[in-house]
Amino acid sequence: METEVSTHPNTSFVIDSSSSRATKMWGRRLGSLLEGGELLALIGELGVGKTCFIKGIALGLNLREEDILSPTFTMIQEHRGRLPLFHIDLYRLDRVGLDDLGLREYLFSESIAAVEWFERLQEASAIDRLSVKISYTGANSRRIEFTAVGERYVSLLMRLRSRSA
Amino acid sequence: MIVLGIESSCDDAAAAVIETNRPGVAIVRANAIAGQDDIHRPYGGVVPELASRNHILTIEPVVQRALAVAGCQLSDIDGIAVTRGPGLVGSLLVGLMYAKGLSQATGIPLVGVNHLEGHLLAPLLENELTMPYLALVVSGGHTALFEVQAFGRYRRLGATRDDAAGEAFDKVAKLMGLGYPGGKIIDELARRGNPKRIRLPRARVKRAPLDFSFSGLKTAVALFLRSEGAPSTSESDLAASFQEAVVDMLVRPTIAAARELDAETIVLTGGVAANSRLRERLSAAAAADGRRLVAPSFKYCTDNAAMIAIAGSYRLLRGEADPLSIDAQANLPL
Repeated sequence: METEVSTHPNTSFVIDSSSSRATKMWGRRLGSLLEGGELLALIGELGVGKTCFIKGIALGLNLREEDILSPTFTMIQEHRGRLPLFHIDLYRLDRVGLDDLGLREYLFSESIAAVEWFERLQEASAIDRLSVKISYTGANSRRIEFTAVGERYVSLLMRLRSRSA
Repeated sequence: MIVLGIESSCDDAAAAVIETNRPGVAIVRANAIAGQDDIHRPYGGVVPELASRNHILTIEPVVQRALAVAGCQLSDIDGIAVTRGPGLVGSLLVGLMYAKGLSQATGIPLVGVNHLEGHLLAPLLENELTMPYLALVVSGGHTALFEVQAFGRYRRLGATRDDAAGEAFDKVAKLMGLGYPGGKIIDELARRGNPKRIRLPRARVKRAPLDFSFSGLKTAVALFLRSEGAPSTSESDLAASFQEAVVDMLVRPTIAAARELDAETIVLTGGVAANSRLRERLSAAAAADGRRLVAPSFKYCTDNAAMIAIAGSYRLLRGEADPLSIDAQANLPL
């Protein structure tokens, strides 16, 4: 279904997904490992499958995937699963600061924050997070690159890898 | 009865005055709106924080304008209807708090209205319709099919599983580098294009024939733009092919629902109801089935306060009112 193609010790981990189903399953694996307070940064072009991956995370949090809709319009959708999930979409903002829109309280809480278009945040590079970068490799296939920034995310990444082995 | 409607669920602050003596039958005496396009244009979309801050400045003047156009004083108003959700919570709060303040100060009864109920009842502002009827609500934030059974009784038959139809238009326009808002630009380009030029998928949701899904179509357009065929394809052909796919995906479940309910009337409402191809195709499909399509004028399809006033007035006419403790809810269910 998917193969590990390369690894970057401890901080990075790349897989090839052959279908939206496989992408969702990786989201689910990640979702089931979350403990609260994590920040997940989803990066990738329009249509590549960011929301699909977050539907998987929702499944791992015991939410129903059909409750996860695109949050582009409202920018923030809140869901109550095993842990609360803030599904955030910065798509409509070209460049936004943490303090501009009250984002800080959503990103740094006891809840899970899954942020689409995270790179549009001015402070993006300075924030600890698990980045999930999805890119096109074919009509249905995608490359998913997980990158940990910060200690707690290195440990999360290791658990995700051992789960996939 | 004279009803003041107030709506501020997204980026428009709106106020309207209607006169009604029977549920669903009304004369619109004023329909005022304070839009914020210029404020949000640099961001390519509505920024919630800016929308609510600006509503604070415009809500009072827009209500005063509606009263002036209607030739009314506050003392002529018999009831206030205000949107309490769904929408952007900061935006909703401004209109709701203002309405509560008015009610508290004057003793005029207040009812909270679901924004979607406003869209569902909007056609009654211009038409006499017999319930039940079927309604397709399509906008930047919503894509759903409802059976309007009676005032206050609505059954959701299906809805989008991912993107709203209007959002699909905006995002595909962005992928194609066409600018914002995408719906109007694509509609115009598509008139010169061949809708059969590019084959795009029509998604169906498994075991839920009345649900919608547009994210796969968005992906298909993104993939097409990366393909070898892209440079030799005209923008208008791609726009037409994409639009045709969206329209197909909206028309099929709507007609299926109409058959299931044997609905005489199909209502098309929400901002995307302005799309000319959707109106044309849905109208033809309805007619071929012996049904009739009703779409409100554009000013009542997009967000407005007249629809909120008519949606609140059937309760006010019954003598009902909500307590001032009602709150704004971003995900208010219908």
